[in-house]
Amino acid sequence: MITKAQVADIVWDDKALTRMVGNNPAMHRRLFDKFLHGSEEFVAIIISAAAEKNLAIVAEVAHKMKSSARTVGALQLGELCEQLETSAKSGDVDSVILHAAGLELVFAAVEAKIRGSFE
Amino acid sequence: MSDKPNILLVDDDDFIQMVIGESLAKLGYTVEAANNGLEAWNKINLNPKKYDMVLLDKVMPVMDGLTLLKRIRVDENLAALPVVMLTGAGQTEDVVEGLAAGAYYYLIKPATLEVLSGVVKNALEDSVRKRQLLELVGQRRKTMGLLQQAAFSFRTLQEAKELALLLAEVSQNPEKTVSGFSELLINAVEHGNLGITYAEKSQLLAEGRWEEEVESRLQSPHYAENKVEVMLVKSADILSVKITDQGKGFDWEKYLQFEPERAFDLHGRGIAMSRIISFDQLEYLESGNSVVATVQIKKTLH
Repeated sequence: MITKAQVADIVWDDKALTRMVGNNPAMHRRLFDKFLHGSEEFVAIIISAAAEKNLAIVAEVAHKMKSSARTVGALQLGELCEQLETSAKSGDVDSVILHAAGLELVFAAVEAKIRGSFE
Repeated sequence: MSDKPNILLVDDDDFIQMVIGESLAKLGYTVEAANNGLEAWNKINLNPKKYDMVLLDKVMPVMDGLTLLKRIRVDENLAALPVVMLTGAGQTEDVVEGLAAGAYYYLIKPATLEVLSGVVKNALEDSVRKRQLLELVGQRRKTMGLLQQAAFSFRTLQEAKELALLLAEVSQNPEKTVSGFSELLINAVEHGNLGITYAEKSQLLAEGRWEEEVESRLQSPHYAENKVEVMLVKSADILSVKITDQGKGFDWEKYLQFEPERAFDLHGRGIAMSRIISFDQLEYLESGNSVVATVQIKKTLH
């Protein structure tokens, strides 16, 4: 389970998007918006699937979210998604529930980081 | 290929489609997207010549990336279409599986603009070379089918290309064999006769200077006498081609398979690919400066 203190030290690579698409703030903003919009939905699906012990859905959505998170530089979120994917694929329900419980918190921290970068 | 190469991006994640689409557009490419393997397959079938390259995710609903890749690789009309896997599935076995299925390269998400640019550029150049070869094959297939024995001696890349075409036509299945013969003959020139090492080629490709360096060494008196010898023997059902260069050989065994430690290099998979796709048997002799490629001749109905 991830604690609030750990989330405060969120691992963030602020050059990730620049390495992907170049230094274009307007484009970054569009991509960040798209990421936040899609991820919000992914988080809800993962939490709901974990509660229902639907590991196939957890694995599928966590796999997708992992790549997106690493692409924008949200390394900690990407790592958490990888753990969720691995646990779900190996049928470890307890681990899936544990990691899913921290997902909302980590995503909220990423969202705050991204929104902060717009200001 | 049109002025702007056309890339089919296959990924079920619309965020990744957007990021990669923006990256490729920035690099000067035209990008069309498909959401899964089946959608991509339908697009390709509708117009097989439309796309210059496929950038393919592995894990997708409806049809996954590996299934699509295997479909593309068994279709002779798509022999020159390069497929680059771009996926979050980055375990060693995933990478080897993708390469063994015929992927030109395997990129792990997120790939930086620099890496994406280098891989796409090399894949497209490779594709152009293959398409040029395929456009030339088949013109003398019937006559070449009568050939039973021949010996050749050559030294340049252009001669290697022309000889690859001839050998492919003799095999009676040029679409399958031409890229394999081309690979082996070019290897004999660049690595064998001209002594370009694996590491040197990596560097030259990264700098876009490979062809220039080959031409420069061909002009050098040091390599002037080096020739590649090719012996062809054909029976009713088997074509055997022995290629011998004047180099000191190489550690060929590790190049017959897709080795994980070379999975992310820009080259080094041609021999393994030829062995799987072009030939029925590929056997290196002794030190590796001599190789025998064997092809079963397809029976044709008269």
